[in-house]
Amino acid sequence: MRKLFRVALMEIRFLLRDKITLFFTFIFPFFLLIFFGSIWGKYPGYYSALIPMLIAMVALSGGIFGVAIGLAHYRETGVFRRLSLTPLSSRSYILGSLLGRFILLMLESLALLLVMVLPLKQTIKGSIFTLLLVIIVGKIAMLSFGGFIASVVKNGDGAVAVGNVVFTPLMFLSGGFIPLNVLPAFIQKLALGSPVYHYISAMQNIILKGHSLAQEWLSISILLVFFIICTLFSKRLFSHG
Amino acid sequence: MDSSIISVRGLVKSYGAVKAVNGIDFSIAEGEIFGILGPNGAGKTSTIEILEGLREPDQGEVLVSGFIPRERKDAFHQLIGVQLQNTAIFQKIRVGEALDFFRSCYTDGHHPESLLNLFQLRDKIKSFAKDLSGGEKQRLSLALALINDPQIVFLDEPTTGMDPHARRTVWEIIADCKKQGKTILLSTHHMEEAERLCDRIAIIDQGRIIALGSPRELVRALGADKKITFTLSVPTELSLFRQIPGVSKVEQQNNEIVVYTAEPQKVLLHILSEAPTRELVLSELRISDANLEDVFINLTGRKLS
Repeated sequence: MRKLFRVALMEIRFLLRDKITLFFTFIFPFFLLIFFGSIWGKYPGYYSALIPMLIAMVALSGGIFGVAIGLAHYRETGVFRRLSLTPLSSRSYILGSLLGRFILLMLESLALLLVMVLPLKQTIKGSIFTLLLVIIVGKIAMLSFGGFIASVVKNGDGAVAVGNVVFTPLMFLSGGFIPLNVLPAFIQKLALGSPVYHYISAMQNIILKGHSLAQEWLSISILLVFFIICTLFSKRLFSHG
Repeated sequence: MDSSIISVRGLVKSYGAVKAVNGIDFSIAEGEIFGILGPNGAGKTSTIEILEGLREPDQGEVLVSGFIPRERKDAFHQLIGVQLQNTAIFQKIRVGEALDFFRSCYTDGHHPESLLNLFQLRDKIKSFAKDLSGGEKQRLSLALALINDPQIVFLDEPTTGMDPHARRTVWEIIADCKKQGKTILLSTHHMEEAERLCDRIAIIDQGRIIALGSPRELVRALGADKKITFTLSVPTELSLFRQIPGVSKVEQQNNEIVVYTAEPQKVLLHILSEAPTRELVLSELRISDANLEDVFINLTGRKLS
């Protein structure tokens, strides 16, 4: 466990040294918050709907562009091969690395929630613990999706290509940017299969409608099933190089 | 299997239709520096990576200090130190952090500080791995291979990309490791490195060991330990030199004639006395010791590098 946290801390250090990661994790969501807020912020409850979307977006991009590209790059450059020759093993390193990314993403989410509650004076109608649980489950699901992509691509370039192909449709179907009720019926049905949609809607329902854990069991279950499927496939398909 | 610390029997490894390792047998005694010498693509790295546990052999038995490498036990990893052919390290890690991190992976080992000094990396302690030169990366990779104070060290072309000074420093470190009783398996295509460091050498070509012995034994097997090298003003039949008493072998290497002999003075006098009568002008004449390159040429008809 100590080794896992040591790896996590080192991974956080690497991520903080990467300007692109820093920008997309900590600056870009606040830029979007200010940008969209300046247009629609006057409508009641807008920020309470926007911030779950930003939390999900950063988690998804952290999974797809962070985890997938990061792991594929480590494999491509032989880092996993080298680690597999130590008692630590590359599998342990991957777990520690995911933990590091998870901690960083949680910090970003907490910062967004603090901004929502304090300066923007939005109320969380449901339980804060239920909200945090959903945020955690969603983050784990999105990170595991990155692991799955890293398992099916050969290298970093492949991860970028796949990432670009899946990120936009998933965000489009999430209902975060465009309300689903303005989209054709078949797309609305398609969205129900998107874990990102369930992630965002669960957070929005807890914040805006005060939903309980029991009321959000379906969304949480879908996220958990998505996480389990991604993890099982990653475990089976991931090559350490 | 015998009592050697490393034992390899009937090793075979193929990649598709290519047989990279084609029935290799050798054993390494504890405290020995054993070299695998051969050209690129000869099967050196595949052999070493099977011994490290990175690759599964298609056939054959491998034992490293009683462990089957592919089982990847922690105790096995604690026992071995590995420097891979390509330096594989995080791009955004600093040199000092890399040593600290790898040290933390093991229960026992050296203090990172001591290796910083040994490998002349102290002034690079804050540098990112991605910003190091090729030679510095190689030195860091070697330092990481020794961080756990391993009993067995695998070095895959350890001085590639190094300048002559750094190369000699690494040779001294490898020699020191031997003094400490470590067993070292190194692959190289630098014959000087092999001659200088190795107690025994396996010369490998196209996946097979074509000669095995100490550097001296291998050179002695040529039947001559000196060579007379020169160029001639006009093309001449090599049989002219083969007839000289005491000559064991004659070769043409590019535009140079190489005459192998155990009696260089006698043979040289003969050549010099014959040259005027045949209107031959010799230039770039020199006498040198035969070496592993000559052994390789003798065995394969090709140059090592």
